[in-house]
Amino acid sequence: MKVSKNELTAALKKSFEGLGFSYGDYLDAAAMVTWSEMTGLDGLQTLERALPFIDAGNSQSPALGYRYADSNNPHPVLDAKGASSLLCGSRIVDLACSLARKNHSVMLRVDNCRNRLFALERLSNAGQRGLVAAMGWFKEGCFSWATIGAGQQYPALKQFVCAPIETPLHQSLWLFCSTAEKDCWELMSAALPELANANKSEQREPQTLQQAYADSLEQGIAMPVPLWEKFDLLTARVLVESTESSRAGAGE
Amino acid sequence: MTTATLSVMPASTIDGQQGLPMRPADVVMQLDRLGSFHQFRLSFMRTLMRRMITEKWQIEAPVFDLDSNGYGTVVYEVQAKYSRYSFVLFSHYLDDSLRNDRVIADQWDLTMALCEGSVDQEQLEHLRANVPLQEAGRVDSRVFVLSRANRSARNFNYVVDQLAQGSQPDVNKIAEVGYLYRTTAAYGSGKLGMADWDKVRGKHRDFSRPFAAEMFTCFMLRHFSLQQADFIARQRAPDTAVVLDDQIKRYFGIGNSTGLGMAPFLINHPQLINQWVEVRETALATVLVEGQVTDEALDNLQCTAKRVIQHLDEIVTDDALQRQSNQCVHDQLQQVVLPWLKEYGASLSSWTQLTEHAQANWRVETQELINSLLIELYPQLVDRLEEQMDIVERYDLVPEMPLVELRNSIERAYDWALKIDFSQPQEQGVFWYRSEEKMEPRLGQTNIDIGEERQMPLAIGRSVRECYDAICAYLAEYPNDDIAHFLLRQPEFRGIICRIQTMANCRYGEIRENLVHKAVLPMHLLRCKLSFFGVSKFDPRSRLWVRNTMFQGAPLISDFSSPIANQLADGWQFPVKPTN
Repeated sequence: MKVSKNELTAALKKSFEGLGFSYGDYLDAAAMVTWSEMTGLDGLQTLERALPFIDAGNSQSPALGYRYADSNNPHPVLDAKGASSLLCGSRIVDLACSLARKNHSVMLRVDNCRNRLFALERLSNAGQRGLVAAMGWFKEGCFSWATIGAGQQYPALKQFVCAPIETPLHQSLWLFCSTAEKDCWELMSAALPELANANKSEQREPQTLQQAYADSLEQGIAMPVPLWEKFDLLTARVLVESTESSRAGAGE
Repeated sequence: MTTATLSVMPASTIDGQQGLPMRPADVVMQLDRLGSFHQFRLSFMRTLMRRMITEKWQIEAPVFDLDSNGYGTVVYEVQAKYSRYSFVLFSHYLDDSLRNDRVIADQWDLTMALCEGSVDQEQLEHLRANVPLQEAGRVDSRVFVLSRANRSARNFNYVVDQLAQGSQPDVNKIAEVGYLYRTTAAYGSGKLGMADWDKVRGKHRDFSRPFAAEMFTCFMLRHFSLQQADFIARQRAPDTAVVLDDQIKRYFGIGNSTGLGMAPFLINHPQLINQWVEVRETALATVLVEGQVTDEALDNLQCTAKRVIQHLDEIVTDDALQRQSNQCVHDQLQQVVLPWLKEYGASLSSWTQLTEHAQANWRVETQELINSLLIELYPQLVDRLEEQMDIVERYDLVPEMPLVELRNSIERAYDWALKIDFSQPQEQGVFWYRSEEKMEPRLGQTNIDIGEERQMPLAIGRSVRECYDAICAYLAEYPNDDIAHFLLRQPEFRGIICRIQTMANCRYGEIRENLVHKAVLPMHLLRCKLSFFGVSKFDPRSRLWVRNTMFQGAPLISDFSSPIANQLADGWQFPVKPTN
């Protein structure tokens, strides 16, 4: 079956609301998943894998704080406390944008963050709002690296094959934001020397994402029926039983 | 009589209209005033009608496959300026006992779809299998509106009987209802697999204005309803039947039932509502500044006011409050406004003298009616705004803004919300929720009805208040923090802060009313949106849903090629009974 962008976004909003996300969170999360799917980044598949964890009592945004790794390191480090980036991605990018506006550029590391792919939509937003931005994360022997220029609509994506990363960082996300053009990759490589020998395995240009988005808009978005049915079940949690008395509340 | 003065107010931000004196939001965005808006020149039905006639849209029916009772399939092909479209309609038998205008219904007399391009047999069969199911069916992205309608059985049977007997129906009877069919929904914007609005606005320029495709669907429904009545009468009595007179045909509109489903739209799309209201206010301000008070303009105004008086006189509604309201406006127009214009009209140097006098002395609904009529007088000043009703909505946070600045912004822009004492029970007397029955929005009574914990976040005033209190408490400890840092600790406010910051750039948009007050009147929300659609003849069936009439008085498709088509395109608002 195929669904439209608006239909998917609406279904996701209600599903996330059904999961217990708060007002702003479910709007953001729906936008992140829809964008990831429409740009060809398999947002629905990622969500399907994430749902059992989120539904197991992990649907509230954690309060976040940051620290500096040491006195010589100017880059803040946050602990996402195991939250999905659906719940913390917006605020992390907000913080990066804010710090970049004040200090011209910033590099953030976010530890213990799940479903990091979704934060890419937020990063693109930062690009659209005039910042140079980049993010990177390890997953399954690969390092993913996304960059977006100031005023651009879509990011470029690269993947590098590399040796498995040490445990504390395998769930980390690195974010860069700058008010001016900057070689973020150089900063990233400096922060993670093991990337120096990584081999590029895949590259997607912004135009590829843009075309995928346009195709989804034109032809609709392929939707696995079982997942759609799962959305229905989650949505049912926000619906209220219909009674004779409640029908009066619709003007009957 | 007051003198012409223009208060210092923020200027319009509509393209090309900078510098105009605009009415302030604390006047315009009051719920009762929004609920007093009337259709006006830039309402969507009006602009669609002008576009169809100016661009000479061609509409034919290559498939008109009805049985003698009018049941079957019709496909209209529409050649508009930029593209070709198909309007596909299925007419079904429906037992009277199953006819239900509520969103929870699952069978209808007519079901329809507006599609891009021509429809081949395969697509037609797919539509036939799905369109009659409406919400229970699926269509694809070649479809961009799905709709259904129920027959006004009493009116329909009467009209067909009269035509079959060789007589025209009595316009006095028609005036009681005003339509043959009522539409109960027109879905667009990507619902049920249809094309997204982003696609429609980008690809189909003929329908790139808000709700243009939905309005066109209702117009085609009206066209079919008249064709079907003629067709059935001819089938029934081929020797005696006459076709419906064109003047009477124009007097038929399409009924519409609108319930609470429309209300959340206004709250959830504040940027779009801002745009609509700002365009309307810009049109008004333009007329007040640039519209010359000439004898011709004064005559036109008086003439239209007289027609409105007759129009109001002819509205039939069972709702006592609506009847009383119509009567009051009718009486005020007749007994106060027209005499005032007669006495002072010739000495007016600006219409501002009229609007200021109206604001000081006359009912809100009369004021807004006069505003609509003034805008009507100057097509050359306001029609350029037609293309500005749409906006790409985008809600962005400015995380680096100092929190103290946000607090000050709330105090300025949401002073109306901060004045509400939400500790008083009546201020949270109701809640909005979605029913399991087709997710229909409903209004529940706090502490009486179930579902309060699942309420929809439509109480913007309350959310702002909660956010404001949290900010004030936070600032006491961290006076120099920005929004990003506040949200790290208090993530639950990100949604409302995003809205507050976005709307800070909009003049209008936020409806200045506590929508969870015990006595809230959702009818005003419905009426506001319907006025932008361009409907008339409001007939509330309760305080939560309203019947109204679309396209009554509008030209027919056969008028598109008439020598007086342009005149017909513009003179159909506030319809009155045909005289012969």
